[in-house]
Amino acid sequence: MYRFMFGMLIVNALFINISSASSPREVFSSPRLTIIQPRGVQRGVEHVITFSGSNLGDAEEILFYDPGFVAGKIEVISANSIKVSVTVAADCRIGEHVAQVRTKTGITDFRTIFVGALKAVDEVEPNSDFDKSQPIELNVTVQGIVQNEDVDYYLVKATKGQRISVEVEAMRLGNTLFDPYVAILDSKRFELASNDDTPLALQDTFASILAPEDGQYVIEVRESAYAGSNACQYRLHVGTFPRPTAVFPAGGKMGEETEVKFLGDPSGVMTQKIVLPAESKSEYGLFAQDPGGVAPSANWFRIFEHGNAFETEPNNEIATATAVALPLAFNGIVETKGDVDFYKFAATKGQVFDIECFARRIRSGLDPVINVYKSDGGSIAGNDDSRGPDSYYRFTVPADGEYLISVRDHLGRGKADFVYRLEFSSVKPKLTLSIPRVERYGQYRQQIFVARGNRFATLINATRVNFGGEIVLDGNDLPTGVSMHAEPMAANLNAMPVVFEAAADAPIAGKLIDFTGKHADPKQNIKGGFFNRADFVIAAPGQSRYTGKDVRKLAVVVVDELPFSIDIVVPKVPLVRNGEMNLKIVAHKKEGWDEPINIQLPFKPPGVGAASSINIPKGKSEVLYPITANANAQIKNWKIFAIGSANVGGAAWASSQLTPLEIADSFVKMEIQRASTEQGKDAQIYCKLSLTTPFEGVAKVRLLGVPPKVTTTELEFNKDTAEIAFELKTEAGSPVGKHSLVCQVEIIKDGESIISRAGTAQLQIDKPLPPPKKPVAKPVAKAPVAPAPVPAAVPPPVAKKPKAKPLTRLQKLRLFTKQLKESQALESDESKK
Amino acid sequence: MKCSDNRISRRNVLTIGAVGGIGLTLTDFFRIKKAQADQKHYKTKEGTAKSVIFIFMPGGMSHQESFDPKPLAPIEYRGPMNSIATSVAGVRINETWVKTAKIADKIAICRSMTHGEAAHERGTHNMFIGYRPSPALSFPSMGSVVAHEFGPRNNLPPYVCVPNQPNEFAGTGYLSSSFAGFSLGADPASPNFKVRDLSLPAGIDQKRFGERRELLDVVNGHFRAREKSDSLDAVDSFYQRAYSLISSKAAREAFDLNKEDAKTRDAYGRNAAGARLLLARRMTEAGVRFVTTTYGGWDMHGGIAGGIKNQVPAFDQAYAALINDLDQRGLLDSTLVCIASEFGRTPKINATAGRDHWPKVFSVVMAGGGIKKGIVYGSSNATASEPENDPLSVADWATTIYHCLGINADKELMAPGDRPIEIVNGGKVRKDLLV
Repeated sequence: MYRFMFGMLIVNALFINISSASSPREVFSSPRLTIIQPRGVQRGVEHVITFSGSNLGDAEEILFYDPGFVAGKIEVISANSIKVSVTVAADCRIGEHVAQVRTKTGITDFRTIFVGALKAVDEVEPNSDFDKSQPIELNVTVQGIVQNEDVDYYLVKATKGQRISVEVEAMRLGNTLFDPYVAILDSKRFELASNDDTPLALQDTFASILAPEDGQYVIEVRESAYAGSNACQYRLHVGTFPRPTAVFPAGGKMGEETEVKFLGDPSGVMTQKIVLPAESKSEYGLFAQDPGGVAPSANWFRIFEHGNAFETEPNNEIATATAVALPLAFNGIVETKGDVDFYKFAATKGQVFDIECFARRIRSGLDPVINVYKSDGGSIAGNDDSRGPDSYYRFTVPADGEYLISVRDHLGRGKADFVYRLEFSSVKPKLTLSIPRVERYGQYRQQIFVARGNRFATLINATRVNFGGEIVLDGNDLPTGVSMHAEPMAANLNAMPVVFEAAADAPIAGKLIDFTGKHADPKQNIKGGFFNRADFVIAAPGQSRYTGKDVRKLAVVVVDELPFSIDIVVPKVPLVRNGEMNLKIVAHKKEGWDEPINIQLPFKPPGVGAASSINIPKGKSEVLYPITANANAQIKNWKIFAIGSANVGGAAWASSQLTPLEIADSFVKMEIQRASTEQGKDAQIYCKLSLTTPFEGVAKVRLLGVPPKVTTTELEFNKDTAEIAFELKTEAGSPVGKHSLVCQVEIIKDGESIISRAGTAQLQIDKPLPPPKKPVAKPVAKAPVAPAPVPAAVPPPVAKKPKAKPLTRLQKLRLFTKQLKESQALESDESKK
Repeated sequence: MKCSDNRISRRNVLTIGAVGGIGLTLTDFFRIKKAQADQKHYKTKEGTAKSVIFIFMPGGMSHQESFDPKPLAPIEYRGPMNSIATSVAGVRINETWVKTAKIADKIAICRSMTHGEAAHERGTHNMFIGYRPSPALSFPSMGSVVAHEFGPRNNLPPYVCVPNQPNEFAGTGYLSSSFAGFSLGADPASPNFKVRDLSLPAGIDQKRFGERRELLDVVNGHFRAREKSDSLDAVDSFYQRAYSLISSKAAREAFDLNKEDAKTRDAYGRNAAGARLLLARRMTEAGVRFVTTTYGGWDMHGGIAGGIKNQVPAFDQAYAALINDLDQRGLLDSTLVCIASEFGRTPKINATAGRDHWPKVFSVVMAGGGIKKGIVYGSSNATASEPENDPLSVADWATTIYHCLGINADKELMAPGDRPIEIVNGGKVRKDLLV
């Protein structure tokens, strides 16, 4: 990650050098997008929008994630900035939208831009004093900046009873940590409404009043702690629009017409009828609308498979619980302090429900706690915060009968807009695909950019919820000329290598696709799509995420040719357990281009380790990439890929083909005896061989890690060898102690080496025993008859059998103990005498 | 026992009858006396190590990429770097420590250092103090204990931090502030390096300085008469030391790197590592007892090979030069040079080609001052994840350092609340490390 960032720094530095020399650059690569300005636009109008970042000099297209935008010709201002005329449709959805820039050589990160209904005006300083408030019309969006200790005042005129609503988009813009505060003051500077944070807008803020008199009103905007900077941009919507704090119910059945009430607006409860989308949507909101205008941001709303049931107050006790029938979504409001809502429902034994309580997730102020009871009031289970502040419980019905569920606030609070939904649904499998991050907070390489006539590869992660099994990718809807290569993802893995290949004549183009996968067994009918979460504002405490954006489309683009491509030379032999291998990576460099290529091996089968990266240096066209397998590496024919990056005026990436790599069990196993010796004496290490896979020819075996002043030689064996012994020679100065030696076996097959570790040998080197203090000759001399034959008899057979199998460590210890006891016995006999 | 009918307690009687005049009750007086009597006391006298140069590598220096490489381990443990042979047969260290490899026969590499604190501040506490962190007590650093036990030598502060006190654990803990390290306040690597306040300000001569000092004494005397506080005493002792520093030319020169010849400066390297270690040698040579210095940032969670290649060469040069220089001057046997870090790094290379925190086993290096030369003490296992032989605890390691200095670490110092606290609790001297 840091290397990439460093790489980007280098790229930027390079750009500065080149641009300062004012020589135009043709190749950019790895473009990045950091901000879209202005941060918001009015719908139904044409705007000139600036996209800024780096390496944008060959920009070709703006990819918008939602309809409603028509981009004109791109004008390159500099290598880091482009201008585009964009027409925003009059019916474009209000709120946050996402775009990214496709260049001839790459695709940028995605960033957000906001669409509003109101005309934009710019803040005009000085407006930092109440008396110097900037006069504005109602129903405009002010684009302003809060500098350090800056307070911006705006003056509006309103008639008695007219609604004045203000909403600030600041943190949502994702520029920086900017927590805004807003207040509506009367002409005498009395505060009529003020707000810092809201459950609906989080750190952002809004306020709404009905003007008490005809007259002038002042709107104050600042940072909540009087901080600010150039990056603290905001969009202040000022108008007569409704600004409800909640919608009730906050969800409905997909495809149905639903009547909803908007709560919390100063003009009272508003009712609207809405036809809901026919499909489930992950982020969906309703915009309150009346003759005064449309709310600048949505109230969040759930699209659910089942219909709604509603609480009937009073239902604060088990006895008065609202009766409902499953499966449903229960909707209620914890309206007053201490309010508890009880529902009762019938269920049959063995039914399993996922009970999700939505409150904070639909931006309600409630911190829900749910409890499930038997009909007699006996408690079954409860949950507070399994879903952030929201609650979740998987309820397996223990017996046929009636059950109760209650909802309350964690602190016993209640408020008129503390809306919640309890959604009951069966347990459903869920599959989500994603690309792992290579930057901690950035989106680099979370897109597919494949060069013409070349390959690009990535890991695809799969998150399986409530199911298991193999997953296959669909690879539908890829741009023309692009093909995808992937094996099914093993059931025990959650990452798989995927290689994309572009034909040499593939058009340089790209699109946002629905990248989908499914369970390998079609009967399971489990499908899922791509998900990517970007972080925009990360700050204290503890690297908290304040602003980000989730998208569900994958950008796949074909980029211009690269001056290099890489291949893995397919190994003819397997990588065996406890083994190692050098994968040969070959680079094809175009004539005249010779830069170093950094190679990585992003996918490693379970139990396989590899160097983080390795370089093919300038002037070279191949490199050996060391990989190892541990004792538990999963035996299987895997597919791997290598990806290479080089500086072509920016970092460019090309992958190898999807290459087979067989992991096999080690061919030979060894039982290695421990050995011990004294300094200056020889030692033997005995190894019993057991062959697990037969092989032809002769295998070599060697000891690694032999201590200094100890020598040994390499041995050979074949498939019929049962035992081998290493001869080790030590010297007087060989290091005393226990030494661990690694026994390495090399088998040649098809001209390639299969190298593995057959085990660890232990060699103990001791200091020679000091010579006995007293010669034992004396007692022998005194009693020549009895013991004399023993020493006389023993040496000749030993001398005659020099090749006898040496004693094991245990045998030596036993012998040593025996000798020691004998010599002690002799000594004590001596002393007694 | 208090008599229920008597309104004057036994304790109050003692107060009335005894040493109330000096602000102590008799009970206090006896309590302190008793505490002192219970204190384990050992006479401190100079040991083989007359001074210590304590080099701390903040962030947690990887043991695999320094003194404990595992060239035979699988690649994900071995890491991206190679190892080289040293002047001690069979001992290999990381490839970047080229010059240190040549002086390996003069140092002792301890490969089995172990503790359980994987957070930077807690690990740092261990290594500066010899105790695990305690919420109840702030312990003195080794430097401050040395200052407490020996006091100044040759008009020089006993404990000096180059360039500044590196962290809160290098402080005095429960000891008086007067045992704090003297911070240079400027980096010796800077071309304009000058220790603050070592000479008289421009335009002030000795006479005028003397007059100012007398004035200050009057003011201080006034405060001393009214207040009794450790910080006042400490300030006073700082002044006394500062006066002796300013008045001694030899002492002042210990801080002056320009007194070194160009060849020596080049040998150490004209950079932060070289300047710090050279200055450390000058100061210990002149009489400073404990010099603490730091070098670099070693918290390499990502791209460890690049980080090591950036940081090590300058330090490697300076460290090897320091050991050779001390050896040539005949000072190595009386100067203990330690390299330590708060912990090591994880056995496996992580997803960002770095290693994370790992206190279970790591390496420290000791040289001179009574430590054996050319040895490897202890070992880690095949993947550098656990100690295999002779696990070296923080307490034992600190006790061994104190032993070299001539301090019995079992000695108790008086902590607040009249609690006698051992300098190191339960540490044993590792005799295998000693000459």
